[in-house]
Amino acid sequence: MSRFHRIVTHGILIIVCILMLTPIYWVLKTSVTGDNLFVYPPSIIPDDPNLFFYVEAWYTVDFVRLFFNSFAIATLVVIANLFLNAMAGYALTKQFPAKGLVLTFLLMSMMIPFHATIIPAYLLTADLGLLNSKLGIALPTLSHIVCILLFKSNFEAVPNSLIQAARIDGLSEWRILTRIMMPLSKPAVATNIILSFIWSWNDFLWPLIVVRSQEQQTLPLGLVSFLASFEDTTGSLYAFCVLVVVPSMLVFLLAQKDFIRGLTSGATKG
Amino acid sequence: MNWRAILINRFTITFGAIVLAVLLWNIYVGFNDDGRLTGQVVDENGDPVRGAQVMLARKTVTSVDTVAETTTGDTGNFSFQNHGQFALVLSVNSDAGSISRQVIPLWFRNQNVDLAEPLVVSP
Repeated sequence: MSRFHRIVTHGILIIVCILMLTPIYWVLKTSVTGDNLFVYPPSIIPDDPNLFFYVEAWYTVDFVRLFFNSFAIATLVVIANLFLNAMAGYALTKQFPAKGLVLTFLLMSMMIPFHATIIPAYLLTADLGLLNSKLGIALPTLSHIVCILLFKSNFEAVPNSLIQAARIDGLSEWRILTRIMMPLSKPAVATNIILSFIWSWNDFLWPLIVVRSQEQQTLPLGLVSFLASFEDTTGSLYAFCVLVVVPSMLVFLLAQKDFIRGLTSGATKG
Repeated sequence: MNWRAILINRFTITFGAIVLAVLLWNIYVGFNDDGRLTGQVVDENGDPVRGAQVMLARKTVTSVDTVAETTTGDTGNFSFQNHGQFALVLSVNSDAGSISRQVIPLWFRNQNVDLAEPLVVSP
């Protein structure tokens, strides 16, 4: 690639980056200034920034309770996803009758939007007596088919000779999974953790339907009730938005290297 | 088990730093959350205003309600105990003048505050 092409490419990339980061910058700026969004001309540099809106957001809603509800549910979802998806993914690397049918069924399930299954999911959760509980909120997200297939493709990349050697050494299938397959599939594990954490953390619709008391509310529900109750608190609202987003961004930034490797590793298999 | 690898990685360092910061912050808050508020009321000439009525209000996002009142002494000084607010909204009424709802943001609820600048009333 010539020098000119490199400059043009990087110029376009920088413009795209600026366009994508502008809304995030705007949220951060508003959270420290409280400026009205519709002020004209808009100011790019924050004028007299302060963190008071974070203090106000922290005390206006019961942030600690909302945070721990979200955190407890996300932790439950992450652990369940690792456990269930790894087992399912490992099983799908084996040959068994109607394996193709099972895979087809899983792929078909992915094509049904969650909104179409809300009523049966709600009735099922109600029958289990899990409405308005953390387990009930976590239930539909305890396993994701995308993550099962991700584990499957990563496990298939592990040389079969390694598994045979482990089997000859007397390891059970469970120990092969936990001692050999999982440590060799760290990118898949990281991808599972990130995806399940972010999906659970940002989930709004299902908790909105299942949760009936303030004690079980998660951060996205708190954000909506904050927005519905106090329309004029621009600074506090945006500060609250930042507080909601920071944990998932932190998890992503910490594990992004493995995350990207996990998503691409299946593509180079074989 | 490789303890060095567990201790020195980005996850342990990041979350450890967060936990440490939260711990230190809570220790600081624990030593400074008696809710003591002291200050002084002066007139435009800088002379202390005696007998000024100082009102402390609670700021919520929708309203401002008075929660406590006091009167300044001979030196214009006033104090509140256990104010319980995360933002101080002070109003002053006196013969020398008044101040309408001066907001002083705090870092945490019930923070001890010694107002560095006196409240200047104007007619």
